[in-house]
Amino acid sequence: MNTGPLESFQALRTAAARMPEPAESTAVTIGLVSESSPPFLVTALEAEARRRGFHWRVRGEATEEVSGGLLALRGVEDEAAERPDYIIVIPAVEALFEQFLALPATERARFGRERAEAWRLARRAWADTGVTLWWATCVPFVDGLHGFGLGIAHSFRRQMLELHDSLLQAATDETNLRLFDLESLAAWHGRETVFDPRWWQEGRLAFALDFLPVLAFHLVNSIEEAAGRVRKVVACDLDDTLWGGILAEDGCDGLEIGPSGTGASFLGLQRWLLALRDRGVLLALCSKNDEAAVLEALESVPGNLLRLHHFAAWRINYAPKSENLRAIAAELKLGLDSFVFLDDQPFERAEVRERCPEVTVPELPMPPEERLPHLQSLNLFVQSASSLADAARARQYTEEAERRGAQSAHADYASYLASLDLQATVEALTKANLDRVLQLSLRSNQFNFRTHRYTRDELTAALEDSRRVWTILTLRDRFGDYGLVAVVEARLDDGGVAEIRNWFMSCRVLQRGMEACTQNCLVERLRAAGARSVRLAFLPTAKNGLVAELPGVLGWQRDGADPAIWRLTLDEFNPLSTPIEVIKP
Amino acid sequence: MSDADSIPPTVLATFRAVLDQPDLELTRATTANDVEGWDSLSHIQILVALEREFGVRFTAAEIADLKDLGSLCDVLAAKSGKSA
Repeated sequence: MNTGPLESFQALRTAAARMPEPAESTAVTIGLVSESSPPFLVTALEAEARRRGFHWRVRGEATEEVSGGLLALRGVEDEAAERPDYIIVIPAVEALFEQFLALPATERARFGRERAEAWRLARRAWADTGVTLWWATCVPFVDGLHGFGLGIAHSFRRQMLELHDSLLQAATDETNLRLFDLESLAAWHGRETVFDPRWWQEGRLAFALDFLPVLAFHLVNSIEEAAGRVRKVVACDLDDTLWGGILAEDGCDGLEIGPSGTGASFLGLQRWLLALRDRGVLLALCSKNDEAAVLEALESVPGNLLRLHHFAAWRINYAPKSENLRAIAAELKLGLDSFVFLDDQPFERAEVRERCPEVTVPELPMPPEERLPHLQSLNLFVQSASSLADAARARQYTEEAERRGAQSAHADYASYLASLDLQATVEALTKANLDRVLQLSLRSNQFNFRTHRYTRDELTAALEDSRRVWTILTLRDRFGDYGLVAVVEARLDDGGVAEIRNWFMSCRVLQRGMEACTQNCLVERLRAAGARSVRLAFLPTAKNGLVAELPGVLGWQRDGADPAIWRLTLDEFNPLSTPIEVIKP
Repeated sequence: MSDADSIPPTVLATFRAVLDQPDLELTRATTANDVEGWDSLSHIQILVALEREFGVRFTAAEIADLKDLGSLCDVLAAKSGKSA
């Protein structure tokens, strides 16, 4: 397989679409909890997995704050049939900076520890489930408030270091926590590549679109590696790969290998291979050469580091390299899918890719000094603390945890919501909020009962129409302001019956009791307008299945045989309990 | 199709690739409402793909001011110095 991330999001989608549909039996379910808007991440992860022959089903949960998202996922999870095999948690440093600034200046020196504690508590709801959490570290960030701010206790930089420090400790203490080093990955690629302020502003997407293939590549690597798809062997070509020059032409004394000049590039690669061997990766030699000459040269070429005894197996002959790799695999009793093949010749790489598609074949760029940084950046040899034994043991806990865990997660989540100090305001349609109502009506797909898309003209006309009853809510919590997030438009007839014409909400505020809060406010405003009952005809689309049964939860009754028609008698409605305080403007 | 109404081939090819609709036809008057699948997510993908294709970068304000495909082509032409 050709190895390395694809260069653009579009290229990744195209490449994935060319791959055959993976077998359903190989499917892995992933819960993604991210402060970066999930849809693009979900697409990138599923496409990258598919490109590599894995079947990932990724369910994205948008969240303003990852501990809340993680608890919310646990809260709904016991109702859903399918428990994720893994959860990926991706905090966004831009969101953390907003949370940081939302604190009074005097409290900012505690930000890192407090976030770490909130994250730890959220993880505890998953502790007994056997589900492994992959937690991303944060992209580097310079806030420009204190220079770099390293020496200042209340600087964001220092607080992020403390947050990461706590994560490192947690990864030692908690058996189901793995860290994904997004901080290193982002530092390697640079901020210009990683972040695009336009998409953060437009849609809270914390990554540049064309960085997503890189992120997905490394996440798929990490998780599939932990699942047992480990690369165990590096099979190397010799001439112009492990040393510079051709043994048969340049002779032992003419080869470039050593501490200075071009030889240093090759020596650096040899040192790196030796370090891989130190941690258990096997080395093999696969060279088109005279065997006797090579065996002698390995020991006698001045400056050469890798000797014959470092190689677990070798095939030095003129047969096709694919055949030699198969022979080495048979000798070592290892599958070809655990092999990485290094060769400077494009022809040899192509031959192996063609005939042994299971083998990982990275590009080996020229000039030689570029090769080691390229191989390092691919992160082919992921090693996490996990082992298959851990995973098996963890699964045994699952059944017991299903009974205990769900309830405690509900309790934890309620207290989490209470701690957020959620406050909503309710208002009618005005010139001031018209633009945002228009925008939200165009964008909301999932939490949208009727998916009526407004036009500006229609809304402007509605400003004058007293038969339309608007319930428009904004929400804020102690971390910041979500802005205008929910809209209900009802139309009142002369007989005191109201008809819901449109009802939609931003999915950013799901799982906060906002549905119930909207319902309470709606009833209050309809009563004030003189309505006695209200009717809601749900219009199903491909995306709004989320709310199909919600009216029943909110106290509505089915109206007749059509399951999409709901009715609520306003006199009989008792306000629902919510964690949200409604502020009258 | 008149000249004033024609869409540059690279722009058309980008829309077709991102939206996965090989037979898609566009005019300068086309808006997102006219094209199935041209939603807020694919909109960002289209803009990023066009930026790569033309070697330009839109500002957030330019993106907000786009009215139809004609205005998108005009911005591309002005920024790239090519007739887009």
